[in-house]
Amino acid sequence: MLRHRILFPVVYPFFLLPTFGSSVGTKLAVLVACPCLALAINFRAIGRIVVLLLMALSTLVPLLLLVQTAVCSSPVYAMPGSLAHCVAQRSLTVLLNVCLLSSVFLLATANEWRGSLVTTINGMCLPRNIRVMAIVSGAMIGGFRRSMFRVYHAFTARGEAMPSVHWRNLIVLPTMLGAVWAAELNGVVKRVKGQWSSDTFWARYVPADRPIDSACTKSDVLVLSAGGLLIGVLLVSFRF
Amino acid sequence: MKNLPTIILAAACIALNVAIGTLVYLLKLPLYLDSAGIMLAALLVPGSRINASIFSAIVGVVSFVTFGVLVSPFQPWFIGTAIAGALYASLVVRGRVTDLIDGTATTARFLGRLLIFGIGWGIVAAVVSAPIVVYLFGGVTGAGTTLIFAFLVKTGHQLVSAALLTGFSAEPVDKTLSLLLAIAVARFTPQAFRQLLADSR
Repeated sequence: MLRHRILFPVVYPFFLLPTFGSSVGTKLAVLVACPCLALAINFRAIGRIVVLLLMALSTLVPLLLLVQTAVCSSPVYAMPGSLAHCVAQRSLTVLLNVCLLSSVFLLATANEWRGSLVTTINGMCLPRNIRVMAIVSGAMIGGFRRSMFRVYHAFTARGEAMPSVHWRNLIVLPTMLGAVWAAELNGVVKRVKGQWSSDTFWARYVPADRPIDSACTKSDVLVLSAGGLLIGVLLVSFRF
Repeated sequence: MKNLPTIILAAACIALNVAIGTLVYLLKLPLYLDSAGIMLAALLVPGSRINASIFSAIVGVVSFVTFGVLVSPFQPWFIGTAIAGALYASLVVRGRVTDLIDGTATTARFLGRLLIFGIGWGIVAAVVSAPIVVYLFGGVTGAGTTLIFAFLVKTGHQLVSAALLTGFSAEPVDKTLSLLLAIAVARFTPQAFRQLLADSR
């Protein structure tokens, strides 16, 4: 199992090294390098995650500006110079670190995503139990959402839950969730006693022994080379 | 696979965390509710407290990574909070809310235990999250609680103490509700599934 992904997921923390006391230049270099590498490895996969990142950043930035304005105007953290300069300086430092971490996350996602959840999970260097858990939970998330909608409609049709803020929902919502949980697990019990009891079934989706994936190996080599280069740059910049 | 029911319990708890967490995140409520599955895993898994700690910590880590990929890319940086919550759930709460799950506790006992364990969980989460919130996100905790943080800093509090106080004001409410959800959901767990879990030991 370990033969072709020995360094998974140890390689990614290398990219986080610049977060700890590096110069702004090094951080910016990583910030540009990681998304470019992610694009080179898996152009199609990162579209969705980029949208999520941009949405999260668009929520973070106004709140960050608000907090940093409060910090800069407080007697404890007041800095010499104008308020705008202080806010900009403090916000940019935080934003740079957040973007740095997010770009590493982007790179990891691009390097691991193999087109479908099952292939992606099987491509990771993880014990078989964890892979089964991840694949079943992926299927269950969809199941939970569908069941939640069904139960929600059933409850609203009986007038027990109102589609607005209502004190009665405090009692109804946990009951509704419990009903969803019970429905899902009742289905699971049937499957465990039937189809899921067969080892052949699981061998088809989560093989114990996996063949070497050449695409996976290529992207690993690319990420490893970039990680090595980064460590080299860091060592040189610390030395001189 | 002999341990299939345990694996399925973990998968269901992860799905529960992600499903409720997504709903709350999309509704922009001043809560998280993304840890009820961690508590549920610690309460339901058979075996010792140590086993439950490891099991619920795995549930927490996988939940937060999945949530990060599907919904909020900032969530994986709070994995430490998930692990601390898993340890608290397994070592402190597990075995002490059995009557709450069975429905044999009186209302006063139910509310008392719920508040004590929920507030305790909230304090643990606030202490573990505070350094991440301050040093990584510059004090941004979420839409509602960020305003409390900004107010506290403006009134002269240090950043870490402001983050801790903000956490202490918001996390206990969130974690008490998460515990309530976990108990409610545990109560609905079918007997047939509990039997499968017991047999898989």
